[in-house]
Amino acid sequence: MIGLAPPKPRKRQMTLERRTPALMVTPAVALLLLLTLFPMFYSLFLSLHDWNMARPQHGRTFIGLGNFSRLLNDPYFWEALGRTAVYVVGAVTLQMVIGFALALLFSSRTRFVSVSRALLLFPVMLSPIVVGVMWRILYHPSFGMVNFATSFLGLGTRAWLGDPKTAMLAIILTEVWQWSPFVMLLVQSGLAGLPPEPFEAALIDGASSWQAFWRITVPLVSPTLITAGLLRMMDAIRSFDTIYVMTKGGPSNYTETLSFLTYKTGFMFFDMGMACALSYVLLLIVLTLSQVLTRAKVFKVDVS
Amino acid sequence: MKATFQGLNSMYRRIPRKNLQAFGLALARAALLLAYLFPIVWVFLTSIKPPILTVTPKPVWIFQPTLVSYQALFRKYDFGRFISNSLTIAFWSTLITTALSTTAAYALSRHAIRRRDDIAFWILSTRMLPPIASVLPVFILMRTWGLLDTKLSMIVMYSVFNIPLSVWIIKAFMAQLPKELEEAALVDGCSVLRAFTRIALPLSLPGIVAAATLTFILAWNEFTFALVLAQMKAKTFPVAIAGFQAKHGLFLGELSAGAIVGTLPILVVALLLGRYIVAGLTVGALK
Repeated sequence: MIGLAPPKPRKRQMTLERRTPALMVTPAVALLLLLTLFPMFYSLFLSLHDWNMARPQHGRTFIGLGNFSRLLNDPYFWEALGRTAVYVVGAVTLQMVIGFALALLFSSRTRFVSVSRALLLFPVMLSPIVVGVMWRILYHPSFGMVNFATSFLGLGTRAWLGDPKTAMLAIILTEVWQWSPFVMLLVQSGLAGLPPEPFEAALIDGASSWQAFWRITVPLVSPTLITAGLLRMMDAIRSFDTIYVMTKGGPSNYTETLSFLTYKTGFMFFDMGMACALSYVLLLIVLTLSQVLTRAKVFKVDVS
Repeated sequence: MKATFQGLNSMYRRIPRKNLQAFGLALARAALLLAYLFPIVWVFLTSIKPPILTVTPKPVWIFQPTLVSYQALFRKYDFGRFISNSLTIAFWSTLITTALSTTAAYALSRHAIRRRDDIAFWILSTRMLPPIASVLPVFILMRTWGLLDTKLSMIVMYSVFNIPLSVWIIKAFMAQLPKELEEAALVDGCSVLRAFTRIALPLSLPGIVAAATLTFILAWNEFTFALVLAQMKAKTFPVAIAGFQAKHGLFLGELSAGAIVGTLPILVVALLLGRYIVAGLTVGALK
């Protein structure tokens, strides 16, 4: 009886077995296709239309690249782009410098240092909303710790988030506070992967530790630095929550970055076509950076 | 005799200086750490102050701690519901994301699938999408499907956008494991599914835990989708605290209590699984 086992189910079992790996990937890919790729195509389609959800009677009209040409002629767009650049470059530069410094300062293997490192990483895990709320409390014009400190030092007080001169700086510092430890983490894993020989050779050859730092450490960890910088830049460009909770783009529109402008256009003015066009500009910038990132990873450091 | 003396002398000189340097460094580290964590400490102090002492022209350091701000947050402003919404959404989406990405990562790292590298790269590349860009069409679609303001839509969306990072982390961990065990099992007639559940799954558990932990944190923290998709019934904690801030920004006690409550789940996860978070963050960024 066993010898006469019907061949058909066996064959089906074989093909099923052969297809198992593909079937295991399918659910994840299908979900991503349905809820990431399809919406993005839909958004591209909408970006070519004039469609305001607040005026449903007008419906949708195809206008080709009309939204994009309106954008390029809109001073608000260029201002938002400029502010995004200030925000991204300012925040990421400071994060890189402070993160690098933290990495060097908190690098030994004593118990105190490793506990400190864990504590420093805590802000990284927090919600940007919670961090924003905390800093709003600190920046409070009448009862905030920042003003207590500056007036104690004789520098006077300010409405940090309400003053056009300081609002952007205040947000940048919040972002720097939250993310510098992340740069520290990446730099340290980069440093851990370095071979000790070049340092030993340099010190034997009589280099000072300062020289060794600039001539050997910095170039050797630079791939990690580039990766960390680009990752942070992409994140900062997309950053929306911090600005939403701290200033909502204000005062007037002094802290309105590209992603906030996109939100405002879509969900406050309901100009969906234009918002989709804006989101494509944003996407284009992030994609360009990610291309640079994948190129930079050619020199990637092994962190295992 | 003289040489020994000199040696000792220089030793004496060297040891205190080295100690002094180490002491200075320790002091600098401690001061920096304290300054860095001060915002959280200050907000915590504000949250346990009697509310009247949170609005004083000079900072108040000595006071009788009280929980009235926390009580108000839960009794008056219904934060229990928002926290329960957030935890429910984070829990289910973590479960779905981890299940789907573990199977996908296994197949992608161990088996020959057509255009495997393209699929892997495409999955990762969807991570680049700015949330504000993808939330626009998703909002319109959810509105058409009548799914706005439901926990289901939030769970599905969170599951989707955490898949890329999760696949990437688990795949990187699996790549470090030896293949021989599984190959031997497959040659001996073990099915792919069995090789996965009996061999690959237990071995890559640390990677899976790292990915799940990060997924949970990201789901608890997420704001953009929650703001747009869930305004009332399914409102999550970050949206609630941002709204409270906008409406009652002067209630510094309650606001601080809210911020501290928002850090608690992260604190618990960090204390239990901190090692995995660090591993996940590093692998997610650098691999």
